[in-house]
Amino acid sequence: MLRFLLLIVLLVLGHEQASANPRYSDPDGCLSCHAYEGLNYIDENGVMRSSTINRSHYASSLHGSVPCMDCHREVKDYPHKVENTEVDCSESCHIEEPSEGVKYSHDVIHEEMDKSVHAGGWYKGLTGGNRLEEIETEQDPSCRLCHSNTLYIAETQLVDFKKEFDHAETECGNCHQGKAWMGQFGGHILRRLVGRRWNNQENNQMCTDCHADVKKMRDVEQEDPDTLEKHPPSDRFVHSADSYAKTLHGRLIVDDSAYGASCIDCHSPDGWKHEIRSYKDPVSASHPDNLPETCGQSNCHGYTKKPGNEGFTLTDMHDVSLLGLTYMDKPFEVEAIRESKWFWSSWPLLLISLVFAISSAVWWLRFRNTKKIISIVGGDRFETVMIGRKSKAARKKPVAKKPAAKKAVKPSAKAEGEAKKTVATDKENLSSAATEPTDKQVEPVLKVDEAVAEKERPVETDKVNSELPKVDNDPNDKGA
Amino acid sequence: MTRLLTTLLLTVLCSWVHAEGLYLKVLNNTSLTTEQTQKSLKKVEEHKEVTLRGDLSVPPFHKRGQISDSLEHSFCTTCHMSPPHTKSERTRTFMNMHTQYIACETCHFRPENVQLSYQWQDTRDASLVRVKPELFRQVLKPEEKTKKTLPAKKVITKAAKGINPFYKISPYYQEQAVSLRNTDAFAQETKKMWQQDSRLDMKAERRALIHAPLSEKGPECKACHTDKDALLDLADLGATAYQMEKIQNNIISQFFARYKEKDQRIRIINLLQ
Repeated sequence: MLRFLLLIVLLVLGHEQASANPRYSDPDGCLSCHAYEGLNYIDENGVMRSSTINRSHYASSLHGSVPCMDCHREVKDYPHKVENTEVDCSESCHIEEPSEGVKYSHDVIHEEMDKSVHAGGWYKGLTGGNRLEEIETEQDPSCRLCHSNTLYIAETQLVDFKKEFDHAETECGNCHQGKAWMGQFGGHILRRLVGRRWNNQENNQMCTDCHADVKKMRDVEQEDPDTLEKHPPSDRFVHSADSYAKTLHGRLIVDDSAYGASCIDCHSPDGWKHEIRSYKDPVSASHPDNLPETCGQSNCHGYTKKPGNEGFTLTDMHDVSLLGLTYMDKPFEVEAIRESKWFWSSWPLLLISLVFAISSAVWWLRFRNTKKIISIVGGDRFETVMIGRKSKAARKKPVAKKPAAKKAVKPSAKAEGEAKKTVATDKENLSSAATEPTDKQVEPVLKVDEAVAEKERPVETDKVNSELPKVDNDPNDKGA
Repeated sequence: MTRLLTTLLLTVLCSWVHAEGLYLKVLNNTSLTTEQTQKSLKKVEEHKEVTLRGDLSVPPFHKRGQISDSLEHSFCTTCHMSPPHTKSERTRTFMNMHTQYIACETCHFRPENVQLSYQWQDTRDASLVRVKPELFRQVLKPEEKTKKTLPAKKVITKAAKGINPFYKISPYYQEQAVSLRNTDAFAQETKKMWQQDSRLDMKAERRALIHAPLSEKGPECKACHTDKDALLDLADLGATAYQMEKIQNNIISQFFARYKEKDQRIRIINLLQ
């Protein structure tokens, strides 16, 4: 009987342990020292080091349930050896995944990383260690380059989270009773719903922190997947962030649109988003053969999956030729120039510029002494507004239909030139008409113009007095 | 009458503040030996300039503490970096932690046969700070359990967190501050000498002079973290009984008392026993 009771007690305790992983309050006593503020020193390389761990931040962080020694397993003595503080993120933790009760592990992510292009360099089981050493010796990212132990719920989202959490306690609590469920599942689910923090802009920022650093990318040593031969990076690789920024996807995301595809959306759309492979790898999401599937995911460009529409995927998302030659490592090499769209597109512009320059020169040579206003573009408007002549349209109206009104007719220069040839013009009459604009006096002028109108349309003017002296603005007859 | 008294008091205070401190007096009366100068010259020659790097492009995984340069007004940082302790792997972080509230001279200027007192000083202007428990940046009162099931929560008040980092426990001699401020003429001259490309022997001589009355090694942890003949009178400095008990029986000072050799490593599990 006693054994039976003991078994029940153990089962109950065991169940409680399995269903509710309590937040440990530093079982290894690490925070006895590390919680002190100001545990700083400058190392021999001039790097300011801090051994302080912010206690409250740690307790509220994603790893708040994980005791220090679960990750820093080799720390056994003090002073700690640096190599003993390293962490293997792929190891399983002592905490349990609540739904199945198995020990939690990042191993699935580890497996993805292992296949990715980022697996080559700093790869000691996804280890941490000395950050300076990592920067100076390794080209591939470690876990902590992209991930830090952030708060479980960001402070900016805490109000929303608390509100939703209260709501969930009443709604979900009808079936899922107990604080353990709320603590383990409710919090987790709500974090995913409310606490999702990374939008596409932030996703891209994480990638461009490194990939937009041209100097850093130029130092990367790439490896041919077939021959395993090392080679310096191509311009396409070095400027991947620049070329992406010129695409519609890049511009949509900069504009905070939800429709732009982020780096991860195309390079690692499946799984845990860590399997970023080379576009030359046949399994890669960015391999040309797989692009219809990749572009068609989540109904982005669903039609690409249909036969015959594959051509859509030929759009280059990292078209280096769109970038200016100044971006290139060796801009004056024949290959760089030949591939540059800027270079080829500059030819028509150059041709047009040449034609324009030659025309201008000829024009200047031929008409530099001509005072006449020649209407090419805007000339008519200039004459109408600035000089006060009638517009071309008005000039086209037949003069004969107009009554011989009080208005004097201002003959056009050309018409006058013609008139000079056909009719002997009485200059005295003109001048007297200008000074005394009576009906009788205007008549001879009109007669002259009527004669001209048969060959050339006459020009009327409202301002006889003022316009008449301007009639002959081309005394040398150069504009004829 | 009141006005007269106030003027007198201010005059006395000003003369007290600007008077020559004990450290400078000792320097003026110091005559260097050849051995001291030679030793200093060797140090100056072997000195390697370390330039402080900015933040690393790989960020730390955990959120760390604030880093503030609270030794900005100390004469020592004319040459030394802040935080200054870099050599001892075991103690450097803890000693640097103490620079947040203890002036350099408190540990490193301890002349024999001289009775020094210790008071809270605003190192920006060498004025005295009114004593209060918050200056220790610690929990003020014993912990109280609010619920039986939960552990007692240690509460460091906002006032304690917001204490000015330039307030430090500093030595006084006959009610006069011992420390030299970096605005004093001697400090300015030293700074000039150090920044300019002065001759090494001149630098070495100045270095030897500055360090002559100082001890490179400060007191052991137990000098303060004890309830018997402690170097600092914590009650006089404003600590509550609870704070005194916590400081005197500090567990880390007890850990460190177990180390007998310089490069000794002790298993943490043994430290916890």
